[in-house]
Amino acid sequence: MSTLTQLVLSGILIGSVYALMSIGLTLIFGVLRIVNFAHGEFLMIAMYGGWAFSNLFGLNPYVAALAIVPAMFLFGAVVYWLVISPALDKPHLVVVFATMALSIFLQNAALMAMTADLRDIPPIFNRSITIGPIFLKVELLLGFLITILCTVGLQWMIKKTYLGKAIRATVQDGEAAMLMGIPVPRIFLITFAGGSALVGLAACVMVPLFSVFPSVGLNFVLIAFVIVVLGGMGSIEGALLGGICVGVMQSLSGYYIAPAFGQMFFFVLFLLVMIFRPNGLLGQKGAAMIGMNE
Amino acid sequence: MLEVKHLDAFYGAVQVLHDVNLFVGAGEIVGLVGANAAGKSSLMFTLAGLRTTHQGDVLLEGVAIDKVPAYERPARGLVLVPERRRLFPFMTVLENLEIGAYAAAARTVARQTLNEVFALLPVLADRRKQVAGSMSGGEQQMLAIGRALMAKPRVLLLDEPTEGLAPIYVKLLFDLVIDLRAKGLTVLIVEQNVHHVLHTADRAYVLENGRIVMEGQGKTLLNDERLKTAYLGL
Repeated sequence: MSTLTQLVLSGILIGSVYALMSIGLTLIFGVLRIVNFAHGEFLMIAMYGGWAFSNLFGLNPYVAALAIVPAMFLFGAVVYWLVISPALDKPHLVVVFATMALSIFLQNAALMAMTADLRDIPPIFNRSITIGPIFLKVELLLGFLITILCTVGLQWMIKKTYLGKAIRATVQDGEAAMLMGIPVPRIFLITFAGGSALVGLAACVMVPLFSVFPSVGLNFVLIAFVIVVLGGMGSIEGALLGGICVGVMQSLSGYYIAPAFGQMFFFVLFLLVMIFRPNGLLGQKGAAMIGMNE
Repeated sequence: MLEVKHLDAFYGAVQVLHDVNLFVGAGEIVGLVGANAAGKSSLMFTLAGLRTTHQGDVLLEGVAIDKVPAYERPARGLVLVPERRRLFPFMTVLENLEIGAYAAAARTVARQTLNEVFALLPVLADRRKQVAGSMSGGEQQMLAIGRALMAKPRVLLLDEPTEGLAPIYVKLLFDLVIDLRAKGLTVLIVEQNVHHVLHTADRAYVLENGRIVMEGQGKTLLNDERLKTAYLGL
């Protein structure tokens, strides 16, 4: 019984970290209606950033986040300006290929600059927290906490602030939003940059847990896509729920069956959800958008 | 107040407006009528800065605004209430109104404007927490106009405001337009409801196939046989 509890709790914690890395993707999809195929590479770059801060200045990544998150916001803004914005009014495939190309470019640039070596940072916390027979890694608990704070904060921002209302208005009727004076191109820029900043935060949480290498994004972006579709595209709470489902699935199947099959099982779960709830767990029919899920 | 000179407008390569000239004086209610697909809505969207490409001039109080992005025109004092209302359906009445006051200058006085709008349209005050998409057509139209008023416009463009409304709301709406003029607003109104609009409007233009073919006093046009037979099939 305690093994099962341990597995479920670990799964929830790691799943919340997966969710954090998916929120940016779902936010950008929900507002701009585009899928950023370079999402994984944004994560990779920010993870290298976290590693560099630790390696060069001895700063732990939670502190480095103070620099990495704004830096990723700027990076997102530049990518939006250079790659996304010119492709937005073109046929949909243009954005797909543009972000795909960006993904390949960033991976190879990283390969050139950093080689294919795995980079790790020294452990930050030496002990786990123990509750009776249960062990929980401090890094994971922190990740869980940050994810919850982020989800709640983001929901609050979208529901209550003026910017959040402008974002929802843009999603519900972009043309009417323009007629009411909302600068829709700027809303898109802020959303894309904000989504990138969230990936930066996720990277800071993930650096202590995973090695960094140029194609590290590929491992995680697949999980992120599953989580985003599982939760309901554009739904932030959905991403949290989807992340936790994937985490628990991976943790249970990894222990009871074999770690190598972990991915297989959450893809099976994914297929089942797609068959029985094609709009995702929290998605609304035909309303795969931020703010549409009341 | 609002002046349109030699305006040609295009959807891609297709020309939808041909050499349109019109003028709306300060404090006037000007009607724009014409059959379906005459280009009425295209003209309204062109004035608001969306959808079409254009040649010619659009002047607001003598200042050219046709190069100003659509989202900056409310701050200049020009707001379009588009066809079919186009509310934000999943947002509450209050949120829709708040969005109307998005421009910086309007936002600083939003609270006061809100009270004015509620006084003018009491139904909105009662429904402020309700989700916009769940209201009746007439209430939604009132909200669409209230939302536009939140921007503190000097010129209000109304595109088919009575479309699909119950007769009681049609009357309410034209009374409201007259009220708004009394408060100093200038109104350009596109309508299928020719009889009502020509009664209410000071002047009107008749649009046919993207060209202005007649203009004059509302009531004079109403009695014009040419209007009845040729353009409106009445």
